[in-house]
Amino acid sequence: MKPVDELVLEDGAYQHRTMFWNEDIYEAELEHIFSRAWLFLTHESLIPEAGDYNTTRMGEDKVIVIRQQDGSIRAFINSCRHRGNTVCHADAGNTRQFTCSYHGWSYGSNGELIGVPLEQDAYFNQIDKSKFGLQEIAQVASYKGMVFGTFDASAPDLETYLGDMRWYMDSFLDVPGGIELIGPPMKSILNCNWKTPAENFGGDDYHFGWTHAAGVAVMGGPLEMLAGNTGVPNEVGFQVGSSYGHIFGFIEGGAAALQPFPEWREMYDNWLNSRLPGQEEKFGPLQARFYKGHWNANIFPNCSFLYGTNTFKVWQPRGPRAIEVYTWTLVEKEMPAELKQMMHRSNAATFGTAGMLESDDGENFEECTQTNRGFNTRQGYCHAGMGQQNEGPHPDMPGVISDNLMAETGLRNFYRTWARMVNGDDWTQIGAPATAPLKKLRAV
Amino acid sequence: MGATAQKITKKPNPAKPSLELINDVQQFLYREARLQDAQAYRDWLTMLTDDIHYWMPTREQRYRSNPMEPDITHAAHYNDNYADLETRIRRTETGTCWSEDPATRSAHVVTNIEVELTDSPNEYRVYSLIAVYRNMNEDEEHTLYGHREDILRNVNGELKLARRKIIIDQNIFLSKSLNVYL
Repeated sequence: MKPVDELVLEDGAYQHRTMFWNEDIYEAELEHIFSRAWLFLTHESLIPEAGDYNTTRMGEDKVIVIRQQDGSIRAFINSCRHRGNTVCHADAGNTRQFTCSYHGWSYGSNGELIGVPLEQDAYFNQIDKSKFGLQEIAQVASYKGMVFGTFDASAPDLETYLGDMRWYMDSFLDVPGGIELIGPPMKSILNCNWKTPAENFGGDDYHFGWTHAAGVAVMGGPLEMLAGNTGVPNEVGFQVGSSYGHIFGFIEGGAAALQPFPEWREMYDNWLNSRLPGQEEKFGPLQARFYKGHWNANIFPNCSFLYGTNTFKVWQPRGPRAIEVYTWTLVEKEMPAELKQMMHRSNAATFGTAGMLESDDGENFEECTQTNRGFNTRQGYCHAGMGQQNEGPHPDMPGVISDNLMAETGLRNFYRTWARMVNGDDWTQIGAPATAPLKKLRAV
Repeated sequence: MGATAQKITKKPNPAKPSLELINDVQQFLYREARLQDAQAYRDWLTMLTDDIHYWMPTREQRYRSNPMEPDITHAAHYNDNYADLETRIRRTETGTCWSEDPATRSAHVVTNIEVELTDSPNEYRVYSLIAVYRNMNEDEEHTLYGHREDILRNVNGELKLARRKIIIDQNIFLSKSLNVYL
């Protein structure tokens, strides 16, 4: 494997293409990123009752996330401590215990080994069951309903890890009643490297008008001018790069812009307007503006969402050249049933498996990975230098902020953090502010 | 918003459908498949009622002791009415739909067709199995199987599709974006 300082150059602006193909680099990602970072597991609304569980993955590790009798949430590696078989084969459900299908070892919802067949006749009661509980995920925590976990007991707590991003996300996570996710998640397979959709969702506003020209044109609305890049809406928003590698692009006032029908946009806008005064009272106008805007975001490393369009995704890596995509719909718990239904229908129509915008992206993502099959092709670098001289800190808002929405501030922030983590840097270095000095700042 | 698809457990009308009706239904489904293969989507739209509900729910792998029936308030690959379907089709007509150019090649195969009468004299419940072979780009191949439960309605002497529920035999959708209709 090449040294990390030859993989990511110029403060994140160049990425060596072997990063999207090479097995050794992928193993390093599993060890240094997916075994250390906080990874999205589930939302509390999906496992409300004691015994409710989801299975998911952290990197390539299979994991069970289960609500305890005391209401807390714990997570365990989904693999029997005897011979390693998968313990739970379902995506979701409710149970008091998991019984391995191989020899029948059974585990309580707290992960303890509670049953071993033939314990007396075969083990002569010599097995110490307390030593063979399911391996527990070192840290599991919920931030306003969003449940994350990390294998790294020394990782900073979740609030610290969410960094600058938390200040922005509070504007919509911290609404009366909170948010919830509508499942079960759509799941699909894409033959691309996991970083490509993560950088795209979080930091690629540039592709939107061109990749999605057709979809944006037929849906109409305030972003229609973007279709085919006929309008250049530099003033509509900006990008933010947060500590710990989180990123998002923000469109001012545009939360409802990508709803596919005018009456849906109106219904959603009315809802946002009815809630905005409360958010302004709670957070002040500067922070509350993020409640009514559209976000394209990525929580480092692999959890992406579009707030406003309300698609919520995790890109689960399956080797360096494939991913499994999980897709939920994000809604506010107190939204009327009709609005929730509209939200999940519009998510299906835009960014679901059969989504009009999703299918545009899928083709590009796969080819961005698969072209690297060519030995000579993958010797080069990809470029993400857009707007590098036009970003910097802001006097009133945290993180690195770009002058324009059309910028690659997010991509650079993502790859700077990627390089720090793959390099094995300690947590203080990983979480350090990630910015070059301010050159020019637009008043935002 | 959106109509509820009929439950599969609904008792059929015990009267037998006529051979003529069965033949008409089969011809309807074959024509639909041919139009899909030809990507003659505007012609396909004329085969749908204005109140069509076209639904393909997400599946989840669960234990038998924890069953969960698909519900229209849950996630779905398709959960479309006429306007949704028309919007999708309009997108492919813009000339800027890069992901459909070059075009996807597909073969829709319809089989296991069963026709039942319902309590409504103008509506028939039709079960069928659809297999879609999809070939994309240079060498990508995907095969999708869907169990369909339709309501066909006789509108002024012409059959139209009023409801379709598609249960796909995949828990994880095993390929990228779903760009065909089943």
